Amino acid sequence: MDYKYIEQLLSRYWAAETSEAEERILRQFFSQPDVPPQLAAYRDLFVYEAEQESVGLGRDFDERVARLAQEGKSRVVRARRPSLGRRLRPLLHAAAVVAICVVVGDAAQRAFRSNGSQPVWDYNLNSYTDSYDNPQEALETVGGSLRQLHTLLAPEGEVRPDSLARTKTPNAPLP
Amino acid sequence: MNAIDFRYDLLPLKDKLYRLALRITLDTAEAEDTVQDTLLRVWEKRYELTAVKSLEAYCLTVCRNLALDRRARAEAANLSLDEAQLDAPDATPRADERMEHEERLRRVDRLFNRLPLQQRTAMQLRDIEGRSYREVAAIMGISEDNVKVTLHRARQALKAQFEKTERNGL
Amino acid sequence: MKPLLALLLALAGWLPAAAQRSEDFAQRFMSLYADSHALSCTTVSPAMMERVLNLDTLRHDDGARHVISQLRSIRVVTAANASHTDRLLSAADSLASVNRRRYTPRAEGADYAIYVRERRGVLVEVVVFLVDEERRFSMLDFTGNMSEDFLSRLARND
Repeated sequence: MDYKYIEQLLSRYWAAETSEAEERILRQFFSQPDVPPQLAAYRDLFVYEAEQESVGLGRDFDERVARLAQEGKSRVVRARRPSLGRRLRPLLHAAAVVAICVVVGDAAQRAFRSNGSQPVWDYNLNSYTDSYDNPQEALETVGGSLRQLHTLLAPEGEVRPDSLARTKTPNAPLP
Repeated sequence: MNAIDFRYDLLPLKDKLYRLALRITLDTAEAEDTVQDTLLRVWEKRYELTAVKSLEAYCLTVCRNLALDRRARAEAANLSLDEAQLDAPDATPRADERMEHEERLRRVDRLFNRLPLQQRTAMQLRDIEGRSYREVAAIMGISEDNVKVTLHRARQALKAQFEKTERNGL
Repeated sequence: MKPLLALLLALAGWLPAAAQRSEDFAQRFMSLYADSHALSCTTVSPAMMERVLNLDTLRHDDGARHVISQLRSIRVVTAANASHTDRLLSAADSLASVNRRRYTPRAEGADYAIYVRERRGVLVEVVVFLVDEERRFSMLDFTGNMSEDFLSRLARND
């Protein structure tokens, strides 16, 4: 089969020069199982786009909204974020109350001990339970993690491939 | 233009509105609320809409604006680490092939959603909803030329990602 | 339930605002997905980090000590296998997106992302999602008092 036509369409697709009908042809082409290797890289995109057409809302949505329309309601704002009560609920077990008093008291002490300004590092010290007993082992994790971060940040001598979102480059290295 | 009927004219649009709202807010709960607000608002104004040529395009425009409002409000609100709205984890094990297929699609979904807001909105309206350049321009409130430039950028970004994956032998 | 809630609210009212403590990204991520996706987490606490900094082996490595001195904790989340990698990457993206007031994207690629949390000009948290050579999901969560210099030093090729 001659794939030249599809390749031409594809080239125009990337350039945003295709018509709706041509884009439909591309989606149809890529939805069949036998896609030649030179075009296989792009298959997922068109398969995804075709499948996305079936994303939607269920029937219970229909009933609810139709009823609201009938009642003449215009905008209904439903609170989706957990209320304060719900957020505090994990804390409300009896055994935890004692622990909380200790933590709260401790944190208050620490706050009073400082010069009154809020600490910038605001995480809960008690939530960090060490996985290692000795610092030599911990060092391996520290070093390994920093190396991985370095790998992602450092250009490694070649131009970085496109990233999709805005990429803020770190400040220029100090001399 | 005949009087708008809720069940026959507005409700059938819910899925496309949902897809657009979801692409903008990236949050299933916000997207659902946006669709509800859109349908009810348009319904409320039904007598004023006699001059509107395409009810669908009009609804998509309203939906887009409401979704943007929600996004702006979510950003302005002081959020603690709230739970994101995601599918429930799958308990049933799946055949490798099917799972691989879903994982690949999920990857594209992530790439799509990582596109800047304008780009992914344009892609949603054009590639998935099949609107014309003119309609996309009207819904987004930009020129047709701008639509094409935006689509060009989005598609080039995606193309680069797909080629990179191919090179890395995924 | 109600009397307990009242007690807690009373306690909260007594506390100065400075006592409110945040949860780091990895901790929240683990609480949401660890069980369903076979994730494990390795932690280096602030206390341990101090001990690492004072190790003999680092005594003459000023560069390393300069970087480590800006850290207070590290959490490393790893998945047992590669079956949910894309789902976990999506989940991590979503969690960061929902909390975009706290976490801003710093760099992104198809299979990785770096987010930072800044407070009063200081990077207090750097979160990285990535995949390893076997395509297993992994997350690194650094907290501390990091400067932009911290990141630029790590970006250098020396």
